Amino acid sequence: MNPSTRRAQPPSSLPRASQGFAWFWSLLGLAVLAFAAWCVKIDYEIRRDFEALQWELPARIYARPLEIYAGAHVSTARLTDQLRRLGYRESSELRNPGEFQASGNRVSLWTRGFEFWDGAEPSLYVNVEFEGNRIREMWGDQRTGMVPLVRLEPAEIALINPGNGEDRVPISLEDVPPDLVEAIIAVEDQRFYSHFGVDPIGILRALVANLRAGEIVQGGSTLTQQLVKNLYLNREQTLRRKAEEALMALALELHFSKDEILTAYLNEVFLGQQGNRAIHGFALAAEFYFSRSLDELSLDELALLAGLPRGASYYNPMRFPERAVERRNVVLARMLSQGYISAPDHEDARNATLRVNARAPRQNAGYPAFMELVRQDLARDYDAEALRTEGLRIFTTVDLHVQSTMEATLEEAVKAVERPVSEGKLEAAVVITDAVTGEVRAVAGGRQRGYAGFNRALNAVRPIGSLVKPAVYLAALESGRFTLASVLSDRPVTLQSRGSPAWSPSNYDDKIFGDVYLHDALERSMNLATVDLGMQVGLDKVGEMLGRLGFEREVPQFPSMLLGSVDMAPVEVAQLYQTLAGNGFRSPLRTVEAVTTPTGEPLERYGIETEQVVDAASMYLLEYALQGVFERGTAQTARNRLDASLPLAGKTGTTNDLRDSWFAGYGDDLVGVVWLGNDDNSDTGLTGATGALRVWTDIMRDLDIQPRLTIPPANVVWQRVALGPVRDGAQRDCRLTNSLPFLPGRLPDPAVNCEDEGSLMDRFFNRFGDL
Amino acid sequence: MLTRVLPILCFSLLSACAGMDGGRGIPAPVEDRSGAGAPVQGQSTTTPVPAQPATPPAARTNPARSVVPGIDDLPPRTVTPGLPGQPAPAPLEPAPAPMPMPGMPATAEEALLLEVDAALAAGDMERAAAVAERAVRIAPRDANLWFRLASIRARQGRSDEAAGIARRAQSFAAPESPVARQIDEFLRTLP
Repeated sequence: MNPSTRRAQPPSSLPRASQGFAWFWSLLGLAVLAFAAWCVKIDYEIRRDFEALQWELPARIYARPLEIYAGAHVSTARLTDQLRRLGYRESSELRNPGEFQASGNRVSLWTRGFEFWDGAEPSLYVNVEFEGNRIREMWGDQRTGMVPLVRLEPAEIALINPGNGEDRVPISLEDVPPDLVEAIIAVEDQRFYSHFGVDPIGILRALVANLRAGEIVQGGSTLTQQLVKNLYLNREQTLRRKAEEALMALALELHFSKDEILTAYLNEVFLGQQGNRAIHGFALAAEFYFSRSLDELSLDELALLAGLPRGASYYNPMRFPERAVERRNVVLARMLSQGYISAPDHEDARNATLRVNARAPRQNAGYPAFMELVRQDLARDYDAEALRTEGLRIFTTVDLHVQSTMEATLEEAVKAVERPVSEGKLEAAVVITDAVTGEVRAVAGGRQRGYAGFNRALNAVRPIGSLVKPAVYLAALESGRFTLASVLSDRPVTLQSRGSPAWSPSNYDDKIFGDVYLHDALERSMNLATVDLGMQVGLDKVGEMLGRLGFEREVPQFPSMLLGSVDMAPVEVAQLYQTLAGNGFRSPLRTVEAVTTPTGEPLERYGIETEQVVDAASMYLLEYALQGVFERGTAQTARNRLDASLPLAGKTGTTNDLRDSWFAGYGDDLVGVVWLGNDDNSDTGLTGATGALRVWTDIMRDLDIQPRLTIPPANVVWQRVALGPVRDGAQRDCRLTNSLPFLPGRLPDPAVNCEDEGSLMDRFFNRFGDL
Repeated sequence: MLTRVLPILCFSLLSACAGMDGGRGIPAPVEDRSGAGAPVQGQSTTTPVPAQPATPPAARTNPARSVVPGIDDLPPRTVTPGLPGQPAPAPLEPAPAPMPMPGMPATAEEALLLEVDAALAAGDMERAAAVAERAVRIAPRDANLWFRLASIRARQGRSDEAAGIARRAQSFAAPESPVARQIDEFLRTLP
């Protein structure tokens, strides 16, 4: 209590009137002080909050952008698909960025431009001429002439949302079309530029209008008041709060400019809802409702957005188009009456048909399996908080063409191989990577499109069966002790190793092939011959080879490892085959290429890495056999369907009791790994060849996988060997021979070598000797 | 009477107590997206006039978003190779499409290599590497592009990465070709 008022407390002897007067003044003084203190507090609060106004911005995740250039493997359909996905409008005349025109072999488009990690891609007008599935040439206009290369904007595939679910794309005032600002001012707050935060005239006008109409047709609150209300949306709406909001509006106007307030309003205001994602601000609303950027919208579309702050759910143009159009026309009428637009403009806009998205573009539901991999990669450098709040732009490696083609094919393909027919129990996982760079192009975590549950591509850690064999054979070829024509023994064997029961492996179907060539044993996936080879090479060498190819966990040193009793997730298998496809160069699989700030400032980049882990010559010999898998071996059945893409390399894999069906294979451009199995680990009835291979083939055919055109290393020589493998030169039969690649110093064993038997005479005597 | 006096009193108090930083408040955080379509060399007044549509599409574009199709995506150095850092020469004469412009890159790889040069000239090594990788993705079996990337990594002092990439380049080079010999030499001199 104020000491002066206490001193002024009247003694009882004073006259009553004067006593009452003193009471009044002291109370008034108190009230004024309390009110002033309240004002100061509110003023402080609003300034603190507004100055520190830092919206929590979700991280935006982008797919790999489509590059178009002469010679690119891009068809008309693929380009127009991508343009539609990006919200480009088909139009007979190109007037704005974000429009295209397609006729016959030609597509003309005007790109929007984008701020990439490595610089700005300009907005560009370009004509693209196609020839078959490729781009023949590209040119722009008189000024630009031939255009060598255009990069489209990347498609946004996911958001990592802040906890409050708010999403926005901040925009500065100069980037907002004037029509939009005028529309908002016309309909929400026509005296915005002249009032001081609250608008008594506006309130009166609204009151009159509402009384006349008998219902609420106009609101009296200014944009500033609405902004305050939005900033403190979660607070309850009491009379005291309303007074507080009015005071805050006054305080805002006192300390900040109209432009600052308007900018904050344009970015803050709530304009729609999608599940638990709240759409804030006009820039995002344009993308949300029209799939286009704000500066591409026409007057009628801007007016529609300007009408939304009154009630984004009530006027939702996707759900209530009539209401939304009615509201849009109210906005247009106000713009006309306040002189912002001309009568003809008004007429045109009023009659424009509503063209909003049928439904909101899907967010975060599209590519959950790939996104899990992205999150794993990002977690190394970014904490969860930064991802949810800092508006990071994350450029990933996923190729939406590959991803959606794979998804579209997968479901049908799995259904086609499932036994018993379409029980729906058989599950699948697919990983597709770029054969050269190791960038992950597509991932499926289940057979269903967009499946978001248990991500089998990352988490189904299963025995890989015969997929391990290339590591066994590569270790053998690299050792220098073996060639493709080495003779292996495919006969029953029992192995006893320390601390484990005796192991007697067998071949699929329990066949016994006897003496076989090394390449043949791999091509036809013979188990007993592989065990023979692996035991000669050494389990440690095979384990070490798996590590070099990119398997990062410990490999159990048991003989059964030679037949694939090593558990791996499909994504780990993809890393191994990536190194094979890279001709012995290991490039770590990557999903994230770069990270920038919301404005495109570079933060982090994850570049191509590559390290040679196996010599080119050994790789070439191995690939001869892996191509032989398609040519003569377990993947022969796929030949017809892949005809145009051959040669390809790959390997089938089947595990005990047909629990897992695998195929891993590659062409020049892509590596693909397919796993099929049941979640309860039961018998699928499928081998690698009858299950996963068929799914792989369907997918790769649709992706038009490119043939392997591996150039033989300079030192490789081709030599003829006898068709039948024998250990004793006396039994050699060179009447029928087969040419195989060898390295000098590692030539075929004399027992099978027919190269030196060059003369007819020799062959004659040879044949004679055999009789 | 009181209702008129109070707000005035209140706000005079407010202003007197204003003591946060004195200056204007920091405006609400905004993202400057004008860069997205901005030209490289500030030729923001150029109006796009595509040749193909019947009517030139110059109508309703936002002035804040300057749209400069074509040559602006290329560094100015394109016309004067070997003189890094030179300002852009006078605008090119209009040429009848679709003819290659003299001095302009004809292929995607050439265009990107010029961009690599520009980034190197600007001392932006990581950007140069990024652009070189973009070229590698377009022509993944081009020994020269891989070699280019290797030499950028070497300039960054990232010798291990440079060696791996150079060996990859070597694997794509024709034996005994000039680039194969250059890569051999490069690998020998790598620290």
